[in-house]
Amino acid sequence: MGGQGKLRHVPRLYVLALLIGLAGQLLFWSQAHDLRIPWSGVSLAPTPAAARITGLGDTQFYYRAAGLGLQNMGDWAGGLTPLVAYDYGRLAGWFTLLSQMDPKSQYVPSFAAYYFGQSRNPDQVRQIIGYLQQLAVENPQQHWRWLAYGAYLARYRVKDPVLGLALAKQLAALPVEDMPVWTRQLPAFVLADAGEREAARDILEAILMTAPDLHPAEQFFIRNYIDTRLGFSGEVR
Amino acid sequence: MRYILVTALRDRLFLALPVMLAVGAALVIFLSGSAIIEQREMAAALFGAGSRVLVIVGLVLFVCFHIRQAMAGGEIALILSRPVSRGAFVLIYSASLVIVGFICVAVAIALVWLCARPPLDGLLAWGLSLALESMLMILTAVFFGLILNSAVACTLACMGFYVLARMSGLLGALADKAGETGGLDLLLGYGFRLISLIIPRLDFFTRSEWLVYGWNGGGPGIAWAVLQSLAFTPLILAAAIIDFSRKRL
Repeated sequence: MGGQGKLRHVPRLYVLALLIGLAGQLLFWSQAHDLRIPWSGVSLAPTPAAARITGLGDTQFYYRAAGLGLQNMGDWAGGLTPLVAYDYGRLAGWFTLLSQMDPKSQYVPSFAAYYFGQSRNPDQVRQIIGYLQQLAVENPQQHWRWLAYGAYLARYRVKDPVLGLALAKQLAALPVEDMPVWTRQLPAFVLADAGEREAARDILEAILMTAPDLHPAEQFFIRNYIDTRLGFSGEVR
Repeated sequence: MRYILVTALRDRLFLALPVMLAVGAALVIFLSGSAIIEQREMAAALFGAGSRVLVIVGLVLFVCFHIRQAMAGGEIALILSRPVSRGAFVLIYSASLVIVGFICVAVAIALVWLCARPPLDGLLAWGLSLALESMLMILTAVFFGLILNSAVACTLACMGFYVLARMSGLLGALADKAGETGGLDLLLGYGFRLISLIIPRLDFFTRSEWLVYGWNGGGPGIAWAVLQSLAFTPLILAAAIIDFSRKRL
């Protein structure tokens, strides 16, 4: 009872049928193994309810699985898609949806900023900046640093000093107590970079006057910056 | 109990499920390694959800086919020829299947620990919750297995029930929204609400965020899963006993 008999007891017709099937499959493989289904581009982000249904109620699973899918989207099976070919409006929709599903994680903001933020198209980078700005404003305790990165993208990728300054000012004004002092100094650095030396000096002096418990090393750095980089030697109040 | 354990061994449940889980763990380790940051969190979430589905599907398949095989082979009729009531039979039979389920859950917990090193409190909450979710699905499979005459129909019914149960919280929310617009949506809303009255809230169970952030990850806690289990277990057991008492073998 049970078990397998010997192969030589199988009728030869069946073995022949198996070999023909195998040959057909190998022939198909030889013709089809280079064919790739073309990438259809970034799909529209689903609604939050549809996303929850897809994840069978496990929002963390959906966040991670969809995030990994977005990170690798367009780049698979040896093919690479240039960033300019992505629809950044749709990407921003996905990033916003996913960040709503896990407001704590840094995963989606990280690849949005460090990967998709490297596009050479300023309009695309503006979409990323918009997402990072929204994230930081909605949850400043967790995500204030993305506003600083947004200011960097605005200044050096988009080359829009006005936007960079607006983001730096927004960061400096965030109600987060334990933000490092450089976040308060950032508008001054952006102004200095744009040649607005006096406005930069005013901001840095205001920090010196309103933060008396600043570490001596920080105080020295600010005074030195005003003296040497802004060129107001001996004028610090 | 011994009979169930022997059949689980005979059906290779204790071999096939751990092998599937191990293959899943290897795949998840490979995939999560490509995440640019938070690789551990990625592995925890992906393997947490994947192992949950594998354990539930594996156990439902085992229970449905086991019951139909035992019915067709006359094994259940033989057991009932002894001085044991049908109610007691359903209780003992279900308890034995639940113990088999707990063994499979223990394997999944060990693999999650090896694969993702989640916070210990989160792993304990997740493991307890997976045990409860498996128990509810095993009891549901026993219920369908005893009343339906086909293993395939029983499996499909269990899977449909599982999907609805995982979405029942969302269905309730959709029902509330549908009620605001009136017309056909209002009727659909009543339908959704009726379904969500009977179907357990499995979205409280086995949440991957416990493996990522620990069991205080926010949202309803493990207590809701325990309460849901306490509420649904007597309901589904009583329904199975009543239906099986009326059945002609």
